[in-house]
Amino acid sequence: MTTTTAAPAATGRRAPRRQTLARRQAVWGWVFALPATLHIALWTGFPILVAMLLSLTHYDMLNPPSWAGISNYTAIANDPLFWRAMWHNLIIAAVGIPVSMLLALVLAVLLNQGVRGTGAFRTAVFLPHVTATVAIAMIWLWIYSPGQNGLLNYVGGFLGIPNQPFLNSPSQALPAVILVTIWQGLGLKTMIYLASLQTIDQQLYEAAEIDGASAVQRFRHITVPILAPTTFFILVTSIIGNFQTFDLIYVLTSGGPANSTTVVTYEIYETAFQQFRMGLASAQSVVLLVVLVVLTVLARRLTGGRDD
Amino acid sequence: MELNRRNFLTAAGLGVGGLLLGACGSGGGTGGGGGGTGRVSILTPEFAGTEGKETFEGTILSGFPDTSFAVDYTDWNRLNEKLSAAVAGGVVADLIMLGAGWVEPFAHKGVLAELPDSLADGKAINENLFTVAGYEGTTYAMPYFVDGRILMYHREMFDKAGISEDALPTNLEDFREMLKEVKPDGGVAIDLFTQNLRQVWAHLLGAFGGSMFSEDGMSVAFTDGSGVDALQYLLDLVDDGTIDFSVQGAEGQPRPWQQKVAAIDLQNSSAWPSLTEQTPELVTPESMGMMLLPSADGGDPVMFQGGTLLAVSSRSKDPELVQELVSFLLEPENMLPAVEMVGKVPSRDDLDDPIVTDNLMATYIIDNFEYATAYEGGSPAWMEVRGAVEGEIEAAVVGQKTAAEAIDALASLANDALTRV
Repeated sequence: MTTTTAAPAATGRRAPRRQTLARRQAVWGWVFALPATLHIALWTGFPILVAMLLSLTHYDMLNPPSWAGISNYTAIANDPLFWRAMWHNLIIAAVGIPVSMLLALVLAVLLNQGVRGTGAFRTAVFLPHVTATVAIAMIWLWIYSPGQNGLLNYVGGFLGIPNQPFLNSPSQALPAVILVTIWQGLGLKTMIYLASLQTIDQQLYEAAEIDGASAVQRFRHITVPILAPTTFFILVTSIIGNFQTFDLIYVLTSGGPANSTTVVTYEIYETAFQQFRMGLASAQSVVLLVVLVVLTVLARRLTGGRDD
Repeated sequence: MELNRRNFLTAAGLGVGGLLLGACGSGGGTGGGGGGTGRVSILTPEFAGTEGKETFEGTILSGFPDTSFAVDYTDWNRLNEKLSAAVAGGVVADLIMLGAGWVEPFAHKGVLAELPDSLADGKAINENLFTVAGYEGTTYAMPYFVDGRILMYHREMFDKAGISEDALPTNLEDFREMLKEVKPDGGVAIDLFTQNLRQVWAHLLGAFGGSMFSEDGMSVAFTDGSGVDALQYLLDLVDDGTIDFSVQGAEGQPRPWQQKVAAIDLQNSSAWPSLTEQTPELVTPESMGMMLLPSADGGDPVMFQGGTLLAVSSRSKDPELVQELVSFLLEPENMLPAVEMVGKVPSRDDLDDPIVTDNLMATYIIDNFEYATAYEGGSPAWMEVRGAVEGEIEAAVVGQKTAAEAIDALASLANDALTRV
């Protein structure tokens, strides 16, 4: 009897203390999170909110905004250039990201072998990532330069290949841009893969080797699954990075020739800062945001939903 | 203040404008708020670089008494966004240097202050240059520099083709035939693609007697057939093989004409300093000839006119002081060091100084000021349209569209922009 009544009494005494402790922890949690929350709210949340709002207006920066309803979104739906830019982004992503990820994985595996000079190779691979995009674009402008002044045409001349227009050709410009994005993005992807590879317990490989697994089998059944979260991270950041590409296009091609390399961010820039249609540019940004969210969800599904 | 949707949208818009300005406004500093007596802020796409700044501030502006300056240097590519962001943020420079075709849009939006015509008195500025300086009959700017577009050719290539200087073509059809004769082996007859293609088309539009907009700037004028004719002429030259889209200058490298890959170059006169520095042997009277683009019907030749204009902000707190500064900058002793620095053609035609007379392009353009016409711009909607022109023209040149399709698309875009004026 005593026993049965004592337990609830004890619980009744402890519960408020536990709740107080939990509440205190929650409060302190919020306090610690407050600076970051405020930062995100002010510099990310608020601009997104304002952009969404402005997307429903006509605004040229010189006069106050006026209500436009969904007319900006209708204009986007009927703008072939915007969808062409979106298509270019998708092509760059569909071709550039898988190729660069595959190359990065191969390079990371090679760099992980511990051969002599790995440090120098690692630096060389990472260098494009830390170099300013404008500088990279200027170098590639020279490489792609038409005529014998361009490095590629100069080398091609020795091999009997006629001069190629590269960035001056509507059919060659986009592949040329994709090549630069692959080269530029390779360093960071390789380093992330390499860091991930170095966390894999070597005992797993030893155990598999004892069980008779070949090198390919070990790579396929140990390395690839363990790298899945890394792959998801690289995939998502690459997709987002790809759709944020602006400076490279701005310097290399300005979206030309004949809009053959224009991308969504470049169109947003043109709309906002050349045409001063800030409402329309905001609507374009919102559409881009939606596309990125959809692609991120798709990427999550594609990689098995693991991001841990 | 009553909180309603319009007020909220205005506040949100100004907030974004402020953020944009914060993002864009690095360095220089315009002083903000229109300066005030004794302090003038300037926004300029000219005089960039250490030497340019030294010349502008150290040599020229230092001679203007009792005034301090805050100069914001930019380039032509960024001037448009910088100016508009400044307007949105309410910190427009007192003195603004802008381009031909820019006056109408910014005057229409109330950014520029009216200028008295007397400001040009005694300045010997060619009357023809003022066509780009006004809007609706009011003067809003003063021509400072002129960028003329002229054809430069290699005399040896013309001699080889048996074309003498006094038998140059006087209409576009003859010009087309001549191009076939002067085309060098493995090259092109004329380089039209290193220049901005929008301006090349506008230049040809002028040669066909057309213009972009109506007199009042409120309707599209290139749909009268001249726009298609101008573009079709360009496409015909592509078909002839006398021009080639893949032959064009690359950033930081000599132009095809300088490499003798092109017999003729449609040149901007502002290129004179780089031409004399990179290939001085090609720009002597013995090796180089110059001509204007003939008109289609054999009438007067045409010269595309760009340039730099001086305008005063309507928000300037001391417009009289800024007008004095404009007048000061147009004086010969202040204009000459500026011209020497930027290598452009002065708007005054009375500067008898080696700085001008040794510049062969400048003297040729000054001699032909009467043909100078700003074939682009002319409408408050221009700034919205200009960015889209090149893409449409390129689409036709590379065979993605016919001339008529490209011009229709351009007209549709321009009409759409005009509805928002």
